[in-house]
Amino acid sequence: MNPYFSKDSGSNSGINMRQVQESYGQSLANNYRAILGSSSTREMAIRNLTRLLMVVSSGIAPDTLQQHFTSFGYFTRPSKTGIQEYCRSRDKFVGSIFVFPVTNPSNESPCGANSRLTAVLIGYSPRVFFVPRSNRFAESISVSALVRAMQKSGGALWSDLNKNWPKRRIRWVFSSQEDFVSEFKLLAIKPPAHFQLAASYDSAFMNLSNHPDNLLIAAINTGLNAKLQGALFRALSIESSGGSRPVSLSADTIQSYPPRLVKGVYIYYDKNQPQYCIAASLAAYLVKNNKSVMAEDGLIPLPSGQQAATMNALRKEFEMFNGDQNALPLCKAYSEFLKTGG
Amino acid sequence: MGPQSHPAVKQVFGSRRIRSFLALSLLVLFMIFGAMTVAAAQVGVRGHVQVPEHKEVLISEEPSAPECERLGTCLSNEKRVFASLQVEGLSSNLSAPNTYTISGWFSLNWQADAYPDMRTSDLSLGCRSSGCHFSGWKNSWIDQHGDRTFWRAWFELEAQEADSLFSYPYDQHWVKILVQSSESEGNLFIDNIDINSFHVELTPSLAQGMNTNFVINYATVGNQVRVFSSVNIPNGGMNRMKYDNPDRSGVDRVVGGQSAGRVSPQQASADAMVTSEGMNHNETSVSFHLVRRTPAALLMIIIPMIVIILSTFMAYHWRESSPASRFGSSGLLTTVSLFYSSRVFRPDVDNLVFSDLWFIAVFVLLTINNLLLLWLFRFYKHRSEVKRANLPLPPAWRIENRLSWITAAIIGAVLLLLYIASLNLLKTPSIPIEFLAGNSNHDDVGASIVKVIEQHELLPSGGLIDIPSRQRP
Repeated sequence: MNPYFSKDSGSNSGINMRQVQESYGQSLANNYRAILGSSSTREMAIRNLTRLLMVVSSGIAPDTLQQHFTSFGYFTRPSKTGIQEYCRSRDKFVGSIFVFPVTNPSNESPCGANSRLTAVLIGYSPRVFFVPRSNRFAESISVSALVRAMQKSGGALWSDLNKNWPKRRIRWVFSSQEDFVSEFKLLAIKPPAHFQLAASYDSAFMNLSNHPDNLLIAAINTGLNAKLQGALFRALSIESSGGSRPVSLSADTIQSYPPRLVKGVYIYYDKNQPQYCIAASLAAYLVKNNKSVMAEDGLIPLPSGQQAATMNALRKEFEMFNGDQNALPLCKAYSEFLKTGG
Repeated sequence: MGPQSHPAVKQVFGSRRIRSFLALSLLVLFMIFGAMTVAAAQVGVRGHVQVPEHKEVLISEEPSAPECERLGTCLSNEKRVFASLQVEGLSSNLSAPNTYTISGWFSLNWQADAYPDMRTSDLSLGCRSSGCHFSGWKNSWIDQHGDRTFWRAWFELEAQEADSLFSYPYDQHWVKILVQSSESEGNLFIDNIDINSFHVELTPSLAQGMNTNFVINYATVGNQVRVFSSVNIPNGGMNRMKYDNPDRSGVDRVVGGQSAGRVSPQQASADAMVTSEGMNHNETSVSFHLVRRTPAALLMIIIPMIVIILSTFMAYHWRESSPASRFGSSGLLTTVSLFYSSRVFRPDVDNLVFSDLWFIAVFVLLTINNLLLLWLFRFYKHRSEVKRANLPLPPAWRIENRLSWITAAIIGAVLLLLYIASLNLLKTPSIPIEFLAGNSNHDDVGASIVKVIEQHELLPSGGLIDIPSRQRP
């Protein structure tokens, strides 16, 4: 069903079917790994899986890695249904990366009370309101004002949020990749009856500047590609009660952000699965380089105390791979890398 | 032709005095509006001061990563190239079933200063077999927006695969497109195509099933991690280096089959890292998973098959002086002629395909039917002898019905088997092997990362869809 061509067969168009099938059969003996995750964390995961492989390969002979590891695939699912799929078919995936509200207690055991699923919090993905650059009036937004404004029949006006803003209707834009209905329910905001839907995050951000009254709610990191490709939008600050001066959103100020807008990026893995150490290696890599890798993807890193505690727990977990002859070469190599202070 | 003014309008606004009056009025209005805006701004400032103080959480506009420069993966990395592929047509002809014609638009977006010598004409599309044919870029368009260059061109590629068509008409295939370059500058350029943001999209017509005889369920975008065992030999030749017997003390370096000493694992890896620069093995690839859209014409095979089987099935219920003996043989002949006429719906391959198995099943069923008819004739003969002897006889319809049930059970079992086989053939590829084997770049030489794109992400995503409010009754 799935033909495989080796590098040699690529330059030999005269190769016959039997040789192709033999070559494909050989390729099946290679190791293929899959990870399941949310689309909003895909870029971060792929970029850092690449780096993890580079780091690991610097510690072992290339052929060792080649003989045991060939290709890594990132499969996308929405967080809500994806975690259920991961629970059902844990043997197919080394782990999963999903985004869940940090306040949700069900994060503890998404696969049931008896499951030994490990969840590692690697960063935060706050929800942010975005407006086009052509919107000259809005600088910050209050969630409580939005809740009140959205109760109005016929839709909210900008002036309902701030009396100095124009009396024009808010044009909501959503991405179909975001579960915006749940998002609104979580914020106790009545979902708008009339809105505009984009097929993807990129499309939502690229089209945001179509009208100055557009308003988009999305994860903080989902607009980076669109921004680099020239999309003209900006994020609104969030107003909250108390305090006296604006604070920049960071690992240290994430607690000031409205808790219902904050989601955590979790890596889940099941220690009963033989390949889980790859997900654990990725988690360790992301926690170890937390500040830089999270900031690069527009996510909020863990506060330094939390990062150190998580890293210590992961280091302890990696100690068991050092003497384990059956551990995967990638995990052993990364464990060695961590041990030598890498 | 420009818009024509109405004569009455011309008459009113044509007068110089009226024009001067209008201009003066506009100026006054502009001044009043300006004054009001300033006043409103002042009110806004005062209002801001009057409301209770609140804390604002500011969102940083430009995330920065201190290590990204070293790692070469900064978001603001000037070398980063954004790419997207919009597929307009993807089809294959049954007379050449392993040739896929793919057409569409390929777009790139890069920072002009980063690639001053970049010529898009050096870029091309390829496939895994050298038998593919790329007809060159057409209708190319290039534009500069700020410091970024946007390029887009139409392409048509005939990709050659050597896949099995046994499962036809429930066959599934992977078709792989490689983005490649003939020049070193282009190689570097391709190397920097960001697979994370590589956008693959089907045009609306393709998503609706036009321009294709396949359903496109998945796409994968892959690139290779540059950690491979190739070295630049000092005499200028490029040779494959292999490391044997790796252990903690070091590895044996083998170049061109000859031992080249023992080095540390770190050195071996460093060799590979350093010398992989400039290697032409970093193609970005896009693969499409295709499931054949079962042609409606196949119904014209399946329906006659069912009619033939039912006709021969009826023969049990014809009595002694019936033409039942001819039902079986005429059914066989009809099936043979149907088989030959249906070859236009069959891929031109020299092995059996799944639709051939349908015919084999029909031939087997008809043969079983003929054998049962033969037995039935002998049974009737036996009955007439019993009748002549005036012995008691059970009614003939009992055995005829029993035969009907037996045949129906056999037909049912065959259909069930074929149905289960069809479902099995239509199963989605298994994760991860069937997605990654063959779709990773150069699987035999190292690790790669593959992004799997689901069908809903392939749908056209150009603009915003207006979702109107629900009408209340």
